[in-house]
Amino acid sequence: MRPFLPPAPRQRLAFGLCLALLGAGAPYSGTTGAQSAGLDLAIRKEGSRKSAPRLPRSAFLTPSNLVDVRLSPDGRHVAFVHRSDAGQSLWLLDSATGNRRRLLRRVETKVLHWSADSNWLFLESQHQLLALSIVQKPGSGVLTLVGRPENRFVLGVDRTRPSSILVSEEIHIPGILRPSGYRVHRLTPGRPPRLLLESKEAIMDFLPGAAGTPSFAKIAASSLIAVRKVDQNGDMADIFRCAPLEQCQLLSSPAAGDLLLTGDEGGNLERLIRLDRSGRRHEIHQDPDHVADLAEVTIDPISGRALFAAYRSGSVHTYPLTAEMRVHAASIRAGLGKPGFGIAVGRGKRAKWLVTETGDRMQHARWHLYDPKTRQLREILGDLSAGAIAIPESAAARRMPFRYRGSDGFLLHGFLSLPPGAAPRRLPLVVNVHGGPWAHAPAGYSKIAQFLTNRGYAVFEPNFRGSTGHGRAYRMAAGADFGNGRVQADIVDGTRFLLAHGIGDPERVGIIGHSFGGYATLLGVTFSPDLFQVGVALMPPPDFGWTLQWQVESSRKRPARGLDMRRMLRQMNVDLNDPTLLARLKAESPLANAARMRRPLLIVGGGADRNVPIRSIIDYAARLNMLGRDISLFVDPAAEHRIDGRGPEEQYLFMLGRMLGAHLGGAREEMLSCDLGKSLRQGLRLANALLFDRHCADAVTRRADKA
Amino acid sequence: MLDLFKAEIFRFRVWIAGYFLLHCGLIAFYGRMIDLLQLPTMIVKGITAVYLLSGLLFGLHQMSHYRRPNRWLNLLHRPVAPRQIAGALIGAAMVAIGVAIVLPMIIMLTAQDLFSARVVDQRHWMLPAATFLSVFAAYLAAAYVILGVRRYAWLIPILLVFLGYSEAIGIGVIAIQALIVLWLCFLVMSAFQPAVMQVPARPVPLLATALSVQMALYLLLVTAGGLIFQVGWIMIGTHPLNGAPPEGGHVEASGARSSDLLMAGLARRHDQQTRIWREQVRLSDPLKIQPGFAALPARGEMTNMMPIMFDDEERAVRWTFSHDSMRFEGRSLRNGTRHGSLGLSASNRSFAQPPATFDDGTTVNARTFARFEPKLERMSPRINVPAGETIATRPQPVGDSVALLTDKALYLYDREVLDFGDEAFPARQRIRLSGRIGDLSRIDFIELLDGYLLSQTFGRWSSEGGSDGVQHLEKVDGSGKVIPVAQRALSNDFPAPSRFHHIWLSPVLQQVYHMVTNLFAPKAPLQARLPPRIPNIVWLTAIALNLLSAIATFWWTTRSRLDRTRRLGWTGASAAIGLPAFLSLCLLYPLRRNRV
Repeated sequence: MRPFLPPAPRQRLAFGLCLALLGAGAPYSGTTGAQSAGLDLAIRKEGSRKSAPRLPRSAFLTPSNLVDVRLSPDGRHVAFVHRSDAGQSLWLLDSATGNRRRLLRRVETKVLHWSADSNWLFLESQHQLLALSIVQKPGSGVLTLVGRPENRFVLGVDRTRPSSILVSEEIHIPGILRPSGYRVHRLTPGRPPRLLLESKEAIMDFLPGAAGTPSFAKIAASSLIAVRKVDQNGDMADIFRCAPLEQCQLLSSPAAGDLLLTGDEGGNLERLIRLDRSGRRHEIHQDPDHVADLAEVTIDPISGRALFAAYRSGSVHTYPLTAEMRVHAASIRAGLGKPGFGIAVGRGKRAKWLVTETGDRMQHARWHLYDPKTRQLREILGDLSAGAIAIPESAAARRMPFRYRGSDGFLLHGFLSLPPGAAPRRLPLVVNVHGGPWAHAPAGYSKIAQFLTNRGYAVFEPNFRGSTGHGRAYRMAAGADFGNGRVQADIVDGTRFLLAHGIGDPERVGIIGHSFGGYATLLGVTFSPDLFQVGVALMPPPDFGWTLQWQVESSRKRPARGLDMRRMLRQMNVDLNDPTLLARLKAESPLANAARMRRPLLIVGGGADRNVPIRSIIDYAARLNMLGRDISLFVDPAAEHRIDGRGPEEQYLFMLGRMLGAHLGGAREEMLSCDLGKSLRQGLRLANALLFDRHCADAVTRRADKA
Repeated sequence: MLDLFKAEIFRFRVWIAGYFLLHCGLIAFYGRMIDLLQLPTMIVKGITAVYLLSGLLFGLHQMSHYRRPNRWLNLLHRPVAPRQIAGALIGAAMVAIGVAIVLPMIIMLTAQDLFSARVVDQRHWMLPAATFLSVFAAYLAAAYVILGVRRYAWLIPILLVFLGYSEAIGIGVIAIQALIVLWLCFLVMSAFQPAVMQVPARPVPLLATALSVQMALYLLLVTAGGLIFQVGWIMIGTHPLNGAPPEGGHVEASGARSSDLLMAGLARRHDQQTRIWREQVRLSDPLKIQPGFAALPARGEMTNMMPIMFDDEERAVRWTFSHDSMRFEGRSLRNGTRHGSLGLSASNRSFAQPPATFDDGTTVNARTFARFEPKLERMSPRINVPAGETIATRPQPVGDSVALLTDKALYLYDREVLDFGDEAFPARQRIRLSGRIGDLSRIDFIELLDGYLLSQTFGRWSSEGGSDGVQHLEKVDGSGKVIPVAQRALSNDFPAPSRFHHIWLSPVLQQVYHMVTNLFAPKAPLQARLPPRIPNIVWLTAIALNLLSAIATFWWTTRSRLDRTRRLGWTGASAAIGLPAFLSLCLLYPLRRNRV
């Protein structure tokens, strides 16, 4: 039984690799989608707010100082990892009194797991899994090493045992490319590991059954995922085949032989399903608005029943699934003033529940304890989380979900953010395109959107067709039209839709994006120069077809946990064996049409990028530079397919601010510190003067202080 | 003779015993800490130098004691032939060397072989013999310095450089040392005569003495002359290695940034494609590879260039390569016991050639790069190059690839080849070298969208008589097809007389030197070079110098009042050998003395 979905970061990663070929976005949130009337109302509301002060760049980069917060199954404790300048430490909060005590002074933990009996904490870090007794039982210490190169991964806590955790293992013979087998072990502090399952096929998840009841395993077989019932002897039988490209999440076994899982098999939207012991499928819940895929499920830690379901596409809604929960959901909604929240339920005499509050204007989450007896919410850890919040909600922009019709009549989704208190018609408009393409716009709180709105830009984030989060039909609607075709038209149509509705100055429109979003940026400034005056592309593939081929060729020999990338692409209608498709993608690529690109363009590349090789970016930039175009190129030699670390992130925001400011008429971005300025100059292979400063911020400050 | 031999041993008994004890003590002390048989060649050379110095000092001391006129008379005026007297003294010296230097080594080898799990190969048993011959040669050279004519005898120890410069390995080393010892023995015996300080009169000893002096003079002139020339040039301040190097030369190319070198290679092309390449070079981080190994370990060589061993830290086992079993032999670091043999792959087959090892447990021999897998306790081959090729570098990550250089080609692999081997990840590209590996200075390249733009620069030894420098530019496409792009001749930064001074000084002695140093040497594929193009000026200089030497020799021999045969012989020798022959004549037959 799993409290949240998806249950483990490892599985999210595997899913991300499968779908987001060029980089995926994060889960998103928003408010109820609206047609133009609703959007107008929301815009008027934003216009009536007080203007936000200009905030320093560093404010947008402040990380949360609560790494993970988890409620014990008995609801009596909250364990959390606190990050400070001195490092990370592990703490325990008594849910009744609110008292906190430090358990460990220094930890590297990224994820916490509570044992079923609430007596043990399992601390998962990048390289090891530790057990820590909170009731002073013997056995605390390292349980096992995890991650690469040990090829062991934490699956989750074993709810059928008081103090056990499940770990999967790939069996690798050194020098042999493919794993020779897969295993699942049960680890219990103070006891030797117990092998629960062994298979030649990749075991992606495992749900052990209580004594005498069957277990369930999720097995990856080539391009499909199968759910299998495992009997006492370890024999497996298929009980469910997930739809192509679908990740079925095993949640719990609420009754012997029953299984709760998620999937979109037999429908469009991802929803909550129960498989009974005879293998029949029962739909438990799906989005009542028929818009969003299921995002989270809360499971009862004792019974394994589903208690809440949350949807986060466009708007955030959390629905109670039982009559008991209905009452509590109403209380929590009233307490938070929001229809959506994350929740973990504790069971016991003095149990409290942990409620997670997030929002599009909240830089970091807030945590509350809910008392099911009094139905009162009490904020916890506020003093700790407040220190990391550098963007007050009053200064943050709302992210308004809206829908628009593409030029072919297809109903599309997107987000709009406006600087508070500004008249939208005069604002420069920036289109921020998400990566993937089989991902979705990074909703909820967005660093980039908040930075840009704070600098005075309206920000449009399209969820073009092909994006995830809105069902199978939406995701598949793009077909393979990823050249200058339907997908790009969705982005252009959305931009024109907003301009037509008086949002943004048509003479001051820019386009930016990461990965596939960067590709769309290149397409935008190449084929729609009348619309987009400037582009900023982060790790963009200049030829989508070539990059996919390169990736498939690179990954052909590297098995990705049983899933074959070429087959998965074919399921997405992108057949890399189709020469016509490849020829079309090439002909419509920014690379083949470099001569048409006449707008100022900044490209940021990663020297160690294994998704978009730097060679492809340099080839494209060289051609543009030879043609005399206004092209700037920054290469971070150590960067992979993302900007990682505060320094590089601030450099990126600086360049973004300078480029947009210079070409869309915004304010000039403040100079960088001396160190960052120096490394920026080193990384700029091609640059016009606006990205350089003769002086740096530290030196200017020192001179001012002297004076 | 026997009495003299015994007396000589008795005379040095304390020194011999003292040296023996000290030597044993040092060997025991260091042998506890390290495996002395696995010392790298550089250290072994240092230790050998100490041994040679011991031999030299002993020879000087022993012979200078008897060389005083009264003692010499006493020594020689016995009812024993001078040859037997010499035999007694030299025999005593051999015993002294054997006891003081060789015996401790034999004790150490025996003890290590019998009482430890450390590797003792057959090749190691040659070490005492090789050491003995080296030290004995030094002793003989020193003895000759004392016994021979002082004007030229001091040159003879220079010939000991052949001990160090020889390319022979294993039993070949012993053979070379034995030849040198025989040669020196002959010289010493010919000088061991009642009338000291006289140039040998008989033709064979005279020929041996003259040739020895000429070769020593040649080596001295080549080394000292070259050094003085270079130092003088540096002091003037126009030496190519001073400040900015000459434009378009090999010195500039070898020190250039990769991007500058690629740009220089493209300089003469002006087409559209070249313009794009120039832009790409400017924007890229070019990658560079240089030859890594001058040679790889060879089976039977007495010492290792570097220790062939690595540690399995998990099991606390040290794996040392044995040339006998051609496998690694394990020894526990905890208790010193044996821990089995480690061959290649699961079948534990023996290595075809001894490998070089690195700290991370990887090994490279001529054809195979392998990695130790601690989990399996197995040495797994990762990359095999085709037969007839020799690996010249460790695989190294470059860009999104792994590069491996052999004596014939550059191979580019996916990075995963290091983990999963070249069966799963065969070479993506094979780029044939445009010249010989021994001449290769560097390879520079940038990644293109569909391959690489690659520069190969040759002429590594052009300043020291190697072939001329040249840069080849090629485009390599995704399938590995190589398309020539440009070729640039690199100018010689050093004048021909400087580059080829070892030739014009004496082409004959240069050939003799080359022949002797390569005698019994195995093939060295990583040192393969193109024969240099020797400018005519070098040959003209050599001919002119030989002619001048012959004329000067004729004049000198006339003034020295040598008989006609010798005069013609010396003049002919000077015409063939050149300046060293004339100088040796001056030392053997100085004018002033002859006048007297």
